[in-house]
Amino acid sequence: MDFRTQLAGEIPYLRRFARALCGDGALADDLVQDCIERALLKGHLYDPARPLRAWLYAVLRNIFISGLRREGSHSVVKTIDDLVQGEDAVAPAQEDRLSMVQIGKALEMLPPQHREVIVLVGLEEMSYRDVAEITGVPVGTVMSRLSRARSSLKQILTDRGHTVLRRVK
Amino acid sequence: MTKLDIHESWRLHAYADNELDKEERVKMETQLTDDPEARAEVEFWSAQKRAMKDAYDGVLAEPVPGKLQAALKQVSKPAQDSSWRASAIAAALATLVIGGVAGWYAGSQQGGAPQFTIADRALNAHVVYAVEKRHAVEVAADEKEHLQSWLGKRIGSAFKTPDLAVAGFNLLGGRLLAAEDRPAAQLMYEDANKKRITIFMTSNPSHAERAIELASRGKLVACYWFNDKIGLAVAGEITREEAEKIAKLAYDQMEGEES
Repeated sequence: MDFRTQLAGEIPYLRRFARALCGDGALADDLVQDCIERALLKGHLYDPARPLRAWLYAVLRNIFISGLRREGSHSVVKTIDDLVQGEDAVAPAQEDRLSMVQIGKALEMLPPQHREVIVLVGLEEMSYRDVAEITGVPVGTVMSRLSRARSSLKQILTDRGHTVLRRVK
Repeated sequence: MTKLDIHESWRLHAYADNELDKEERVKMETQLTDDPEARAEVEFWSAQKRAMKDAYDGVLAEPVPGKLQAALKQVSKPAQDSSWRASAIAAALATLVIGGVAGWYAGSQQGGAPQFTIADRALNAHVVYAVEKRHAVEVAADEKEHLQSWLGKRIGSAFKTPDLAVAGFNLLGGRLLAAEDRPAAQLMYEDANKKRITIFMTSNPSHAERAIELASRGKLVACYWFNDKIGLAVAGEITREEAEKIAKLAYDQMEGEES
């Protein structure tokens, strides 16, 4: 299978990863588009012995992180109070759907370096080693970021009266 | 049994993420039977995972937007596309283009002087210097820093001397050369069988980038590319596969990922 065909097969996963990383659908697809272009341009650097998805995720997160650096637009600090306020307007009957909106909002509140690790491990089910390669940090750093991301997420999701996550089961 | 400090224990995370080997996992499971707090923590993390999947897995089933399909198809245009990017991509994807000597002129396009491609120059310099026993290089590898800054200054662009040890080649050193009226540089490497390869570099006056391409002359092979400042070529009496491998190795280190 040629590179382009393989790349086509990865687009749904790139879109999922991008959506979880940046929260916004349109922005996520812009990110995926940049990633596709970059991947085609740099395809000769891809080592076929390694999983293509991990390589593409690395390309995508690099674009994402450098975009954040450039614009500084995501440095807006969101607090737990913002989250709780937004939530008060939602009727209790909608709580099941809320859990989906909720996790997205909670992820957004994490620093990007923590968010990408928890998304790669939890959603994309990448191994710690793959995550280390994708994010360009040692495995130990991945684990400490993961640990911190999880406890922040727990705090965000439980320090608000009702514990949405426990109800998801 | 000591309880796990659930905030610090990376082992617990590794357990939750299925990163432990069987022995460690069994050990952890035994430990968890006595530790409801840690069990609850693990359960909470899997609930986080499920919530993320519930929220984002739907994306997988969505049809791929047209603009992404277009981005993917863009490169199927022929290489003479006006965008250099598209042609560079096409060149890179079609494995390696076997170029003749008349392919790409790195030198000035004006004047009556004979035109050499970077592959020609690299192969000529290789033929002349790689056979030298005592005077193969001007500056030896033990003065690598000096070699690198000196040659970088002369060719007008700092470069990183690539480490080709994984391909079996170690740096011998380098020298300054002339590419007609411009300075050029040659780095020389040698493997355990005393086989030598060289990397040739000279400025790229057109500033047009080009993806890796391959040229051959008899048993000699050159694998070359251009960034916006310099053209580079790996040359030697090696197979195309070797040349490609070494060039990619050098490319990765010398060009890097810009982000």
